[in-house]
Amino acid sequence: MQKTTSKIPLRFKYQPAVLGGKTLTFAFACVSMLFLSSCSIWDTGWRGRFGVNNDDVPENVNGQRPVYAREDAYDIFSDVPRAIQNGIAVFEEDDLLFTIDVDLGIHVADNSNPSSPQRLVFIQIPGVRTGEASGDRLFANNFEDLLSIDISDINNVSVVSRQENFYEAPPAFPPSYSGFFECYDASRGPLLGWEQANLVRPQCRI
Amino acid sequence: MKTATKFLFILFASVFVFASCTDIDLPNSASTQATTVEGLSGDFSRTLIVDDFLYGVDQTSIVTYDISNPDTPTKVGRTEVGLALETIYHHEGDLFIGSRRGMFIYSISRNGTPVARGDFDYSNLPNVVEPCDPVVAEGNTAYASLYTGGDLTGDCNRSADLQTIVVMDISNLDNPTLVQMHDLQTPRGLAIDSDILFVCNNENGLSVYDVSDRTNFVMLTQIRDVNAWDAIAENNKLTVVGSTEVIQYDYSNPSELVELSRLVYPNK
Repeated sequence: MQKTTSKIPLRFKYQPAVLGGKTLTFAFACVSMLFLSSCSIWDTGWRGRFGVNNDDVPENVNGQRPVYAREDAYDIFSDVPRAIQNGIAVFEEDDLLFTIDVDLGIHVADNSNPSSPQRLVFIQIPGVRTGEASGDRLFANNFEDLLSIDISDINNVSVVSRQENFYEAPPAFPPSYSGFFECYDASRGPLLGWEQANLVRPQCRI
Repeated sequence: MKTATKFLFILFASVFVFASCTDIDLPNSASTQATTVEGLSGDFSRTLIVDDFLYGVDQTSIVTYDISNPDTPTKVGRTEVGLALETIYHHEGDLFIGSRRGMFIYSISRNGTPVARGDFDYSNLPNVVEPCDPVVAEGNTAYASLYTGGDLTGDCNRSADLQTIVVMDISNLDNPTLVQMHDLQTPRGLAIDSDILFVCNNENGLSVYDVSDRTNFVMLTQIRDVNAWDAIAENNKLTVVGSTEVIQYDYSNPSELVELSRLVYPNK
Protein backbone atom coordinates (compact mmCIF):
# COMPACT_ATOMS: atom_id res chain seq x y z
CA MET A 1 0.00 0.00 0.00
CA GLN A 2 1.31 3.41 -0.91
CA LYS A 3 1.58 6.04 1.73
CA THR A 4 -1.35 8.37 1.29
CA THR A 5 -1.08 10.31 4.47
CA SER A 6 0.89 13.36 3.48
CA LYS A 7 -2.09 15.61 2.82
CA ILE A 8 -3.81 14.84 6.08
CA PRO A 9 -3.07 17.13 8.99
CA LEU A 10 -1.71 15.33 11.99
CA ARG A 11 -4.09 17.04 14.33
CA PHE A 12 -7.57 18.32 13.67
CA LYS A 13 -6.65 21.58 15.27
CA TYR A 14 -4.16 22.24 12.49
CA GLN A 15 -6.84 22.25 9.86
CA PRO A 16 -7.89 25.88 10.14
CA ALA A 17 -4.26 26.93 9.85
CA VAL A 18 -3.83 24.78 6.79
CA LEU A 19 -6.92 26.18 5.13
CA GLY A 20 -6.50 29.72 6.42
CA GLY A 21 -8.48 32.88 5.70
CA LYS A 22 -11.59 34.36 7.28
CA THR A 23 -13.52 34.26 4.03
CA LEU A 24 -13.34 30.52 4.10
CA THR A 25 -15.11 30.23 7.42
CA PHE A 26 -18.40 29.34 5.81
CA ALA A 27 -16.79 26.84 3.53
CA PHE A 28 -14.86 25.41 6.43
CA ALA A 29 -18.06 24.97 8.38
CA CYS A 30 -19.50 23.11 5.44
CA VAL A 31 -16.41 20.98 5.23
CA SER A 32 -16.62 20.25 8.92
CA MET A 33 -20.19 19.14 8.45
CA LEU A 34 -19.19 17.01 5.54
CA PHE A 35 -16.37 15.62 7.60
CA LEU A 36 -18.68 14.83 10.48
CA SER A 37 -21.30 13.35 8.28
CA SER A 38 -18.80 11.18 6.51
CA CYS A 39 -16.66 10.15 9.44
CA SER A 40 -18.73 10.12 12.57
CA ILE A 41 -21.14 7.38 13.29
CA TRP A 42 -24.69 8.12 14.14
CA ASP A 43 -27.57 5.77 14.27
CA THR A 44 -29.30 7.70 11.59
CA GLY A 45 -28.03 9.08 8.37
CA TRP A 46 -26.22 6.09 6.98
CA ARG A 47 -29.16 4.97 5.02
CA GLY A 48 -29.30 8.45 3.59
CA ARG A 49 -25.71 8.48 2.59
CA PHE A 50 -25.53 4.97 1.24
CA GLY A 51 -29.12 4.61 0.17
CA VAL A 52 -29.76 3.26 -3.28
CA ASN A 53 -32.42 4.62 -5.58
CA ASN A 54 -35.24 2.08 -5.64
CA ASP A 55 -34.94 1.55 -9.36
CA ASP A 56 -31.30 0.57 -8.96
CA VAL A 57 -31.81 -2.08 -6.27
CA PRO A 58 -30.93 -5.48 -7.68
CA GLU A 59 -33.17 -8.42 -6.83
CA ASN A 60 -30.17 -10.61 -6.04
CA VAL A 61 -26.53 -9.72 -5.74
CA ASN A 62 -23.41 -10.87 -3.98
CA GLY A 63 -22.22 -8.38 -1.38
CA GLN A 64 -21.50 -7.63 2.24
CA ARG A 65 -23.93 -7.82 5.13
CA PRO A 66 -23.54 -6.84 8.79
CA VAL A 67 -22.81 -9.42 11.43
CA TYR A 68 -24.66 -8.46 14.58
CA ALA A 69 -23.64 -9.24 18.11
CA ARG A 70 -25.69 -11.87 19.84
CA GLU A 71 -28.78 -11.01 21.84
CA ASP A 72 -26.83 -11.19 25.10
CA ALA A 73 -24.45 -8.48 23.89
CA TYR A 74 -25.07 -6.36 26.96
CA ASP A 75 -25.17 -9.13 29.57
CA ILE A 76 -22.29 -8.95 32.01
CA PHE A 77 -21.75 -11.72 34.55
CA SER A 78 -19.19 -13.94 36.29
CA ASP A 79 -18.83 -17.36 34.80
CA VAL A 80 -16.61 -20.40 35.18
CA PRO A 81 -12.95 -20.09 34.11
CA ARG A 82 -12.23 -21.08 30.55
CA ALA A 83 -9.58 -21.13 27.86
CA ILE A 84 -8.20 -17.85 26.55
CA GLN A 85 -9.09 -17.44 22.90
CA ASN A 86 -7.28 -14.27 22.02
CA GLY A 87 -5.55 -12.55 24.92
CA ILE A 88 -4.31 -9.06 24.14
CA ALA A 89 -3.65 -7.32 27.42
CA VAL A 90 -3.05 -7.89 31.11
CA PHE A 91 -3.37 -5.67 34.12
CA GLU A 92 -3.22 -6.11 37.86
CA GLU A 93 -4.98 -4.68 40.85
CA ASP A 94 -4.19 -5.79 44.37
CA ASP A 95 -3.75 -9.53 44.08
CA LEU A 96 -5.91 -9.97 41.03
CA LEU A 97 -4.56 -10.58 37.55
CA PHE A 98 -6.85 -9.63 34.67
CA THR A 99 -6.45 -10.85 31.11
CA ILE A 100 -8.50 -9.29 28.33
CA ASP A 101 -9.83 -11.77 25.80
CA VAL A 102 -10.78 -9.80 22.69
CA ASP A 103 -14.54 -9.30 22.36
CA LEU A 104 -15.34 -12.08 24.83
CA GLY A 105 -14.55 -10.98 28.34
CA ILE A 106 -11.92 -10.77 31.05
CA HIS A 107 -10.24 -13.70 32.78
CA VAL A 108 -9.48 -13.12 36.45
CA ALA A 109 -6.90 -15.00 38.51
CA ASP A 110 -5.79 -14.77 42.11
CA ASN A 111 -2.16 -13.73 41.80
CA SER A 112 -1.27 -13.34 45.46
CA ASN A 113 1.42 -15.91 44.78
CA PRO A 114 2.80 -15.16 41.29
CA SER A 115 4.48 -18.55 41.29
CA SER A 116 1.11 -20.18 41.45
CA PRO A 117 -1.74 -18.03 40.17
CA GLN A 118 -5.21 -19.50 40.58
CA ARG A 119 -7.95 -19.07 38.03
CA LEU A 120 -11.02 -17.54 39.60
CA VAL A 121 -13.65 -16.53 37.06
CA PHE A 122 -14.30 -15.40 33.55
CA ILE A 123 -16.30 -12.19 33.39
CA GLN A 124 -18.34 -12.13 30.22
CA ILE A 125 -18.12 -8.68 28.61
CA PRO A 126 -19.05 -8.86 24.92
CA GLY A 127 -17.10 -6.47 22.71
CA VAL A 128 -14.40 -5.87 25.31
CA ARG A 129 -11.09 -4.45 24.12
CA THR A 130 -9.91 -2.46 27.08
CA GLY A 131 -10.10 -2.54 30.84
CA GLU A 132 -8.58 -1.20 33.99
CA ALA A 133 -9.21 -1.93 37.66
CA SER A 134 -9.20 0.40 40.62
CA GLY A 135 -10.02 -0.88 44.07
CA ASP A 136 -13.12 -3.03 43.82
CA ARG A 137 -14.20 -1.52 40.53
CA LEU A 138 -13.41 -2.84 37.10
CA PHE A 139 -13.74 -0.42 34.21
CA ALA A 140 -14.14 -2.00 30.81
CA ASN A 141 -15.81 -1.33 27.52
CA ASN A 142 -18.88 -3.25 26.38
CA PHE A 143 -18.84 -2.36 22.71
CA GLU A 144 -19.23 1.45 22.70
CA ASP A 145 -20.17 1.75 26.35
CA LEU A 146 -17.91 2.17 29.35
CA LEU A 147 -18.88 0.04 32.33
CA SER A 148 -18.03 0.39 35.96
CA ILE A 149 -18.31 -3.12 37.40
CA ASP A 150 -18.40 -3.97 41.09
CA ILE A 151 -15.94 -6.82 41.59
CA SER A 152 -15.99 -6.90 45.39
CA ASP A 153 -17.61 -10.32 44.99
CA ILE A 154 -15.69 -11.64 42.03
CA ASN A 155 -18.02 -14.62 41.71
CA ASN A 156 -20.99 -12.36 41.30
CA VAL A 157 -20.00 -9.12 39.61
CA SER A 158 -22.52 -6.44 38.82
CA VAL A 159 -22.61 -3.40 36.57
CA VAL A 160 -22.98 -0.27 38.69
CA SER A 161 -22.69 2.25 35.89
CA ARG A 162 -22.93 2.28 32.13
CA GLN A 163 -21.70 5.33 30.22
CA GLU A 164 -23.19 5.02 26.79
CA ASN A 165 -21.17 5.83 23.69
CA PHE A 166 -17.89 6.21 25.54
CA TYR A 167 -16.21 5.06 22.36
CA GLU A 168 -17.00 5.79 18.77
CA ALA A 169 -18.87 3.03 17.06
CA PRO A 170 -17.12 1.32 14.18
CA PRO A 171 -18.00 2.47 10.66
CA ALA A 172 -21.50 1.41 9.67
CA PHE A 173 -20.33 0.31 6.26
CA PRO A 174 -18.01 -2.50 5.15
CA PRO A 175 -14.38 -1.32 5.17
CA SER A 176 -12.32 -1.38 1.98
CA TYR A 177 -15.29 -2.43 -0.02
CA SER A 178 -17.14 -1.08 -2.93
CA GLY A 179 -20.52 -2.34 -4.04
CA PHE A 180 -23.92 -3.24 -2.62
CA PHE A 181 -24.31 -4.04 1.04
CA GLU A 182 -27.12 -4.68 3.47
CA CYS A 183 -27.60 -1.47 5.48
CA TYR A 184 -26.56 -1.62 9.11
CA ASP A 185 -29.60 -1.39 11.38
CA ALA A 186 -28.59 -0.12 14.83
CA SER A 187 -31.84 -1.36 16.35
CA ARG A 188 -30.63 -4.91 15.78
CA GLY A 189 -27.68 -4.39 18.11
CA PRO A 190 -23.95 -3.70 17.96
CA LEU A 191 -22.05 -4.37 14.78
CA LEU A 192 -19.47 -7.14 15.04
CA GLY A 193 -18.20 -7.11 11.48
CA TRP A 194 -19.13 -7.84 7.90
CA GLU A 195 -19.48 -10.99 5.87
CA GLN A 196 -19.92 -11.83 2.25
CA ALA A 197 -23.37 -13.13 1.38
CA ASN A 198 -26.01 -13.31 -1.28
CA LEU A 199 -28.13 -10.21 -0.76
CA VAL A 200 -31.78 -9.80 -1.64
CA ARG A 201 -32.69 -6.27 -2.65
CA PRO A 202 -29.87 -4.56 -0.69
CA GLN A 203 -30.71 -0.94 0.05
CA CYS A 204 -27.16 0.37 0.51
CA ARG A 205 -24.19 0.81 -1.75
CA ILE A 206 -20.75 2.31 -1.33
CA MET B 1 -17.30 34.55 -8.73
CA LYS B 2 -17.17 34.40 -4.99
CA THR B 3 -19.89 31.76 -4.91
CA ALA B 4 -18.10 29.81 -7.57
CA THR B 5 -14.91 29.93 -5.59
CA LYS B 6 -16.70 28.71 -2.53
CA PHE B 7 -18.36 25.98 -4.51
CA LEU B 8 -15.08 24.85 -5.98
CA PHE B 9 -13.45 24.98 -2.61
CA ILE B 10 -16.18 22.93 -1.03
CA LEU B 11 -16.05 20.47 -3.88
CA PHE B 12 -12.32 20.13 -3.50
CA ALA B 13 -12.60 19.94 0.25
CA SER B 14 -15.28 17.27 0.11
CA VAL B 15 -13.13 15.16 -2.12
CA PHE B 16 -10.20 15.72 0.19
CA VAL B 17 -12.27 14.96 3.25
CA PHE B 18 -13.85 11.91 1.77
CA ALA B 19 -10.45 10.71 0.67
CA SER B 20 -9.16 11.18 4.18
CA CYS B 21 -12.08 9.29 5.63
CA THR B 22 -11.63 6.53 3.16
CA ASP B 23 -8.04 6.42 4.12
CA ILE B 24 -8.84 6.19 7.79
CA ASP B 25 -11.88 4.02 7.89
CA LEU B 26 -11.00 1.68 5.11
CA PRO B 27 -7.42 0.82 5.83
CA ASN B 28 -7.48 -2.92 5.29
CA SER B 29 -6.88 -4.37 1.94
CA ALA B 30 -6.08 -8.04 2.13
CA SER B 31 -8.86 -9.18 4.40
CA THR B 32 -11.74 -7.32 2.83
CA GLN B 33 -12.92 -9.86 0.36
CA ALA B 34 -12.72 -12.66 2.86
CA THR B 35 -15.94 -14.23 4.00
CA THR B 36 -14.81 -14.32 7.60
CA VAL B 37 -16.08 -11.79 10.07
CA GLU B 38 -13.71 -8.96 10.70
CA GLY B 39 -13.20 -7.66 14.16
CA LEU B 40 -13.79 -4.14 15.25
CA SER B 41 -10.20 -3.48 14.31
CA GLY B 42 -8.75 -1.39 17.03
CA ASP B 43 -11.73 0.85 17.46
CA PHE B 44 -11.48 0.19 21.16
CA SER B 45 -8.03 0.89 22.34
CA ARG B 46 -6.69 1.18 25.81
CA THR B 47 -7.91 2.87 28.88
CA LEU B 48 -5.84 3.88 31.83
CA ILE B 49 -6.44 5.34 35.23
CA VAL B 50 -4.38 8.19 36.63
CA ASP B 51 -5.44 9.18 40.12
CA ASP B 52 -9.14 10.09 39.94
CA PHE B 53 -9.33 10.10 36.17
CA LEU B 54 -9.88 7.46 33.57
CA TYR B 55 -8.64 8.04 30.04
CA GLY B 56 -9.68 6.11 27.01
CA VAL B 57 -8.76 6.59 23.40
CA ASP B 58 -11.02 5.86 20.51
CA GLN B 59 -10.14 6.46 16.90
CA THR B 60 -9.86 10.22 17.14
CA SER B 61 -10.04 11.39 20.75
CA ILE B 62 -9.04 11.02 24.34
CA VAL B 63 -12.11 10.68 26.51
CA THR B 64 -11.69 11.76 30.13
CA TYR B 65 -13.87 10.55 32.97
CA ASP B 66 -13.74 11.59 36.60
CA ILE B 67 -13.98 8.38 38.59
CA SER B 68 -13.44 9.83 42.06
CA ASN B 69 -16.82 8.27 42.70
CA PRO B 70 -16.38 5.00 40.78
CA ASP B 71 -20.10 4.25 40.88
CA THR B 72 -20.95 7.35 38.93
CA PRO B 73 -18.15 8.18 36.52
CA THR B 74 -18.69 11.64 35.10
CA LYS B 75 -17.48 12.70 31.73
CA VAL B 76 -14.99 15.55 31.96
CA GLY B 77 -14.49 15.96 28.27
CA ARG B 78 -13.44 14.67 24.93
CA THR B 79 -10.15 15.90 23.49
CA GLU B 80 -9.76 15.56 19.77
CA VAL B 81 -6.25 14.42 18.99
CA GLY B 82 -5.95 13.21 15.44
CA LEU B 83 -6.73 10.18 13.39
CA ALA B 84 -6.35 6.46 13.85
CA LEU B 85 -5.36 6.53 17.50
CA GLU B 86 -4.46 3.20 19.01
CA THR B 87 -2.73 3.28 22.36
CA ILE B 88 -2.33 5.43 25.46
CA TYR B 89 0.50 5.40 27.98
CA HIS B 90 1.05 7.40 31.14
CA HIS B 91 4.42 8.64 32.35
CA GLU B 92 4.93 11.19 35.11
CA GLY B 93 1.79 13.22 34.50
CA ASP B 94 1.99 13.06 30.72
CA LEU B 95 -0.01 10.96 28.29
CA PHE B 96 1.61 9.43 25.23
CA ILE B 97 -0.83 8.57 22.48
CA GLY B 98 0.22 6.17 19.77
CA SER B 99 -1.51 6.46 16.43
CA ARG B 100 -0.82 5.13 13.00
CA ARG B 101 0.36 8.58 12.03
CA GLY B 102 2.52 9.54 14.94
CA MET B 103 2.95 9.94 18.65
CA PHE B 104 1.14 12.72 20.52
CA ILE B 105 2.08 14.04 23.92
CA TYR B 106 -0.49 15.49 26.33
CA SER B 107 0.03 16.80 29.83
CA ILE B 108 -2.67 16.17 32.40
CA SER B 109 -4.01 19.48 33.65
CA ARG B 110 -5.22 20.11 37.18
CA ASN B 111 -8.84 19.40 36.29
CA GLY B 112 -7.81 16.14 34.62
CA THR B 113 -8.19 17.16 31.00
CA PRO B 114 -5.29 16.49 28.65
CA VAL B 115 -3.50 19.53 27.25
CA ALA B 116 -1.69 19.17 23.92
CA ARG B 117 2.09 19.28 23.92
CA GLY B 118 4.26 18.11 21.06
CA ASP B 119 3.88 15.36 18.52
CA PHE B 120 6.12 13.21 16.41
CA ASP B 121 4.99 12.44 12.87
CA TYR B 122 5.94 8.97 11.67
CA SER B 123 5.41 9.95 8.06
CA ASN B 124 8.81 11.64 8.21
CA LEU B 125 10.46 8.32 8.88
CA PRO B 126 11.65 6.16 6.03
CA ASN B 127 9.49 3.19 5.00
CA VAL B 128 6.80 3.72 7.59
CA VAL B 129 3.40 2.76 6.28
CA GLU B 130 0.68 3.32 8.88
CA PRO B 131 2.04 1.06 11.53
CA CYS B 132 0.53 -0.29 14.69
CA ASP B 133 2.21 1.47 17.50
CA PRO B 134 2.42 0.80 21.21
CA VAL B 135 4.35 3.55 23.00
CA VAL B 136 6.17 3.53 26.34
CA ALA B 137 8.29 6.23 27.97
CA GLU B 138 10.96 6.41 30.63
CA GLY B 139 12.98 9.43 31.68
CA ASN B 140 13.67 11.54 28.61
CA THR B 141 13.00 8.79 26.13
CA ALA B 142 9.91 7.39 24.43
CA TYR B 143 9.89 4.10 22.58
CA ALA B 144 7.31 3.25 19.94
CA SER B 145 7.04 -0.20 18.51
CA LEU B 146 6.05 0.16 14.88
CA TYR B 147 5.05 -2.82 12.88
CA THR B 148 2.98 -3.89 9.98
CA GLY B 149 1.97 -7.40 9.13
CA GLY B 150 -0.58 -9.77 10.60
CA ASP B 151 -1.74 -9.26 14.12
CA LEU B 152 -4.28 -10.74 16.45
CA THR B 153 -7.05 -8.32 15.78
CA GLY B 154 -6.50 -8.29 12.05
CA ASP B 155 -6.11 -4.57 12.24
CA CYS B 156 -2.79 -4.10 10.57
CA ASN B 157 -2.75 -6.66 7.84
CA ARG B 158 -0.68 -4.90 5.27
CA SER B 159 1.68 -6.05 2.65
CA ALA B 160 4.51 -3.75 3.69
CA ASP B 161 6.75 -5.33 6.25
CA LEU B 162 7.90 -2.90 8.90
CA GLN B 163 9.51 -4.01 12.14
CA THR B 164 11.18 -1.32 14.14
CA ILE B 165 11.37 0.51 17.43
CA VAL B 166 11.50 4.26 17.11
CA VAL B 167 13.47 5.90 19.91
CA MET B 168 12.46 9.51 20.55
CA ASP B 169 13.89 12.17 22.81
CA ILE B 170 11.12 13.74 24.90
CA SER B 171 13.20 16.04 27.10
CA ASN B 172 11.26 18.82 25.39
CA LEU B 173 7.68 17.56 25.54
CA ASP B 174 6.64 20.18 23.03
CA ASN B 175 9.08 18.96 20.45
CA PRO B 176 9.97 15.27 20.52
CA THR B 177 12.84 14.37 18.22
CA LEU B 178 14.12 11.19 16.65
CA VAL B 179 17.06 9.52 18.36
CA GLN B 180 17.20 6.46 16.18
CA MET B 181 15.29 3.55 14.75
CA HIS B 182 16.13 0.10 15.95
CA ASP B 183 14.98 -2.69 13.67
CA LEU B 184 13.69 -5.78 15.42
CA GLN B 185 11.81 -8.92 14.60
CA THR B 186 8.03 -8.55 14.99
CA PRO B 187 7.98 -6.02 17.84
CA ARG B 188 4.56 -5.71 19.50
CA GLY B 189 3.84 -4.66 23.08
CA LEU B 190 6.55 -2.96 25.11
CA ALA B 191 7.26 -2.64 28.80
CA ILE B 192 9.99 -0.61 30.45
CA ASP B 193 11.50 -0.43 33.90
CA SER B 194 14.30 2.14 34.18
CA ASP B 195 17.01 0.90 31.78
CA ILE B 196 15.43 -2.42 30.92
CA LEU B 197 13.19 -2.58 27.85
CA PHE B 198 11.04 -5.65 27.32
CA VAL B 199 9.90 -6.25 23.78
CA CYS B 200 7.16 -8.71 22.93
CA ASN B 201 7.93 -10.37 19.63
CA ASN B 202 4.64 -12.19 19.17
CA GLU B 203 5.34 -15.72 17.91
CA ASN B 204 9.06 -14.99 18.03
CA GLY B 205 9.08 -14.73 21.80
CA LEU B 206 10.29 -12.03 24.08
CA SER B 207 13.52 -10.05 24.14
CA VAL B 208 15.09 -7.99 26.91
CA TYR B 209 17.38 -5.04 26.24
CA ASP B 210 19.60 -2.80 28.32
CA VAL B 211 18.81 0.67 26.98
CA SER B 212 20.96 2.69 29.38
CA ASP B 213 22.60 3.91 26.16
CA ARG B 214 19.47 4.56 24.13
CA THR B 215 21.46 4.75 20.90
CA ASN B 216 22.78 1.27 21.45
CA PHE B 217 20.37 -1.44 22.57
CA VAL B 218 22.20 -4.30 24.24
CA MET B 219 20.29 -7.55 24.21
CA LEU B 220 20.39 -9.18 27.63
CA THR B 221 18.37 -12.24 26.92
CA GLN B 222 15.75 -13.69 24.65
CA ILE B 223 13.01 -16.18 25.33
CA ARG B 224 11.77 -17.98 22.30
CA ASP B 225 9.26 -20.52 23.50
CA VAL B 226 6.50 -18.03 24.23
CA ASN B 227 3.96 -16.14 22.23
CA ALA B 228 4.31 -12.63 23.61
CA TRP B 229 1.76 -9.99 22.70
CA ASP B 230 1.86 -7.50 25.55
CA ALA B 231 3.61 -7.17 28.88
CA ILE B 232 3.73 -5.21 32.09
CA ALA B 233 6.90 -4.86 34.16
CA GLU B 234 6.82 -3.78 37.77
CA ASN B 235 8.72 -4.58 40.96
CA ASN B 236 10.92 -7.14 39.24
CA LYS B 237 7.90 -9.03 37.96
CA LEU B 238 7.19 -9.25 34.26
CA THR B 239 3.73 -10.40 33.21
CA VAL B 240 3.40 -11.43 29.60
CA VAL B 241 0.24 -12.28 27.72
CA GLY B 242 0.38 -14.43 24.63
CA SER B 243 -2.70 -15.43 22.76
CA THR B 244 -3.63 -18.32 25.07
CA GLU B 245 -1.54 -18.01 28.23
CA VAL B 246 -0.19 -15.60 30.80
CA ILE B 247 3.42 -16.07 31.90
CA GLN B 248 5.13 -14.35 34.82
CA TYR B 249 8.87 -13.89 35.21
CA ASP B 250 11.15 -12.55 37.91
CA TYR B 251 13.59 -10.11 36.33
CA SER B 252 15.69 -9.26 39.40
CA ASN B 253 18.49 -10.34 37.10
CA PRO B 254 17.29 -9.07 33.72
CA SER B 255 19.89 -11.15 31.90
CA GLU B 256 18.33 -14.27 33.26
CA LEU B 257 14.56 -14.20 33.57
CA VAL B 258 13.20 -16.74 35.99
CA GLU B 259 9.85 -18.13 35.02
CA LEU B 260 7.49 -17.95 37.98
CA SER B 261 4.39 -19.43 36.47
CA ARG B 262 2.48 -20.11 33.34
CA LEU B 263 -1.20 -19.59 33.60
CA VAL B 264 -2.63 -21.69 30.85
CA TYR B 265 -6.34 -21.70 30.35
CA PRO B 266 -7.46 -24.28 31.18
CA ASN B 267 -4.66 -25.47 33.46
CA LYS B 268 -2.72 -28.36 32.06
